[in-house]
Amino acid sequence: MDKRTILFVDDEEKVLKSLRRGLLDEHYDMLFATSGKEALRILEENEVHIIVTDMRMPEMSGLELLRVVKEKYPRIVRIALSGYTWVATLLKAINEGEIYKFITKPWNLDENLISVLREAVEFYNQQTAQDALLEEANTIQE
Amino acid sequence: MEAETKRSFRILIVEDDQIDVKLLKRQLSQSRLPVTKVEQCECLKEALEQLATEQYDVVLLDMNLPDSKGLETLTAISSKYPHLTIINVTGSSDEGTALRALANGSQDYLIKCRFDPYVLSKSIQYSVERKKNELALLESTGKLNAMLEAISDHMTIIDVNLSIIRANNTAKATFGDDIVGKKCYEVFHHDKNGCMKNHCAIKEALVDGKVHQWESEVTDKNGQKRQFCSTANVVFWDQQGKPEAVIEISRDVTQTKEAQKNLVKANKELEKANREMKMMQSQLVQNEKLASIGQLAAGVAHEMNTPVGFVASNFVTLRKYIVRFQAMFGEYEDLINEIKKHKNKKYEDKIKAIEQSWKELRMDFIQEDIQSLFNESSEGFERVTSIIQNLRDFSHIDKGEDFDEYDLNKAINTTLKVAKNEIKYNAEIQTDLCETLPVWCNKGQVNQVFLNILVNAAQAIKSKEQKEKGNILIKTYARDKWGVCEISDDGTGIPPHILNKIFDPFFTTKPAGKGTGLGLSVSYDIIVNKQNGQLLVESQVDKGTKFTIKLPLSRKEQEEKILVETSTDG
Repeated sequence: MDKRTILFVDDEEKVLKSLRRGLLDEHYDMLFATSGKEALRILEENEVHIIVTDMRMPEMSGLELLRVVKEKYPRIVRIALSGYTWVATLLKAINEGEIYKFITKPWNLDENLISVLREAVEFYNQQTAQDALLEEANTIQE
Repeated sequence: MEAETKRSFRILIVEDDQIDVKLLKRQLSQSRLPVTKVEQCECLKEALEQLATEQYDVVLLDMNLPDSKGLETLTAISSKYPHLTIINVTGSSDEGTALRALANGSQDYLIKCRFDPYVLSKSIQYSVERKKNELALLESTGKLNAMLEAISDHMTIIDVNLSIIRANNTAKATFGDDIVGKKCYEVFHHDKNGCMKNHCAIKEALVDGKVHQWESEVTDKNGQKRQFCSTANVVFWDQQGKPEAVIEISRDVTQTKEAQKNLVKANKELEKANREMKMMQSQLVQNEKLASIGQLAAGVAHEMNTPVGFVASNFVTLRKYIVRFQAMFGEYEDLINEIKKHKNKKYEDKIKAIEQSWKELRMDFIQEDIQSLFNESSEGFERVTSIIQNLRDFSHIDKGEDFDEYDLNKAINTTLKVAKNEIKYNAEIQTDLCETLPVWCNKGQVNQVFLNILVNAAQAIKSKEQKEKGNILIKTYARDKWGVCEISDDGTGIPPHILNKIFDPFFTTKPAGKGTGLGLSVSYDIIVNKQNGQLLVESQVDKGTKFTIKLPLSRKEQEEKILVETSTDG
């Protein structure tokens, strides 16, 4: 299986660094952005499979970012990582951004974050496999 | 008196016998009685006409007239002219009628042919005088009566046989016109079989002759109860100086008493309202406190989430790093042992230096300690995380979401499964659950409340440090519109001075690190603010504590309950 690329977005750099350390043994290519805008720039230049973003950030919120990602790169698996867990915020995020998973801060590295990311990769792989099958079926039909 | 004796009389003779008239006139003139005028008429009709036009002092009356006979003649005149002095002049045969006439308003009687001028003169003088006294007496009696009747209170005079011998109009109006002559107990209390009262102020006054005052309930002629405020005082004494009758004066205070009762009732209601207001106020203060703490907590929790997040994450990573360092150390150690085996002099000094450093840096201790360092620290992180979690629960202000019908008994059984490990070493759990108790609530939140209270109960028993296990009793039942759950323990109890603080956020009696001080305030917030229920506590030091949780019964259950109640009523 190809190595998957995950983009982490958080305005707090220490969060990004701790994620990088925590995922040392996971075989991902990791990209990091400290704002929504930077994230969009990275997405333009790189192939990204999973995006993990904070919700409350200056300028562009995580929700806005995910909305754009959903529109431009619908295959990217979208995950929120946030300390703000108001039911209203959660519902809005889930409904508008169609989030795959919501991880709360503080996160549990082994029991939560790592396993969620593995599931997300699995989900992405399944989707691509499905896409490939569909494409194959289409070409056969043609 | 001088003037009186010298006064002159105006006399009317009513007599049909002219011989008798002449005789009377002669005797009058012979008597030397001062007379202004003497006139005569022969029948009653004439007499009445005469009296209507002229003034007279004395009438000398023969009752047997052509147009009227006997006493009728007398009363015809006396009733119309009560101030007139009437002396009967009668034949000797009719002395009996003359005597009756005395009782009916005439002052004297003279038997024809049996009086002389002197007797006639004396009779006239005395009769006029008597009439005058009689009138005066009558007037003063009338005034006295008027005075008695003017008393608006109830007045009765009661003799030693407890018979009413006199009553004023007020008393008659209340107890009946025929009360005079009846027994007082019969009139006042409708007791037909004698006086039932052991202590009665009337009887006491009749014995000791003193003034008595009292309040009592009487029954009026319509059977209505009335409140009386009375005094009794002796009016008549017998010749031995013993009381013969008492006068009782009573005031009807029914309305005053009623007003007083209403006032007391109103006052009680006011006190109750006041208490409720105070309770409501304290609940409002509690809610307000929780709301502002909730906001603060939410803000703090959210701000803390990010730094706690990466510190905790880094910490987990650090542990992994250390494991790797230890693995590498192991390999270096193997290498050093290998070199030592070959006894290569070239590395001897270096190895000694390494061993020296190992000792100086106390690496043996560090290697041993590192495990507990990580364990203790991650426990700390867990605690911090759980505090944040609790604070977060506070901030979930959303109401009315995820509400469902939920059997309280099921909630208890679920929670007991979770809490068992925490409780089983300290307490025996007894349950007394009703059949089903469906309430309208949020399952998760209610479970959390039960867990909080059960764990608290277990800890209260544990901190008693007794040898044998304590007891926790869980009881459920339905009352009014509530599903009720009581959780009682026989633990340490809560001292009265902190009982009103236990629902305050961050209030805890547990040692540092053992409790966040949020458990009960979160429970209160859930039950009272979010589930519209009630959370009550009763406690006695060393006896134990009872928490009562009340949640609204599901609507269906409430309706059924009302049905059952009305059917049993019928």
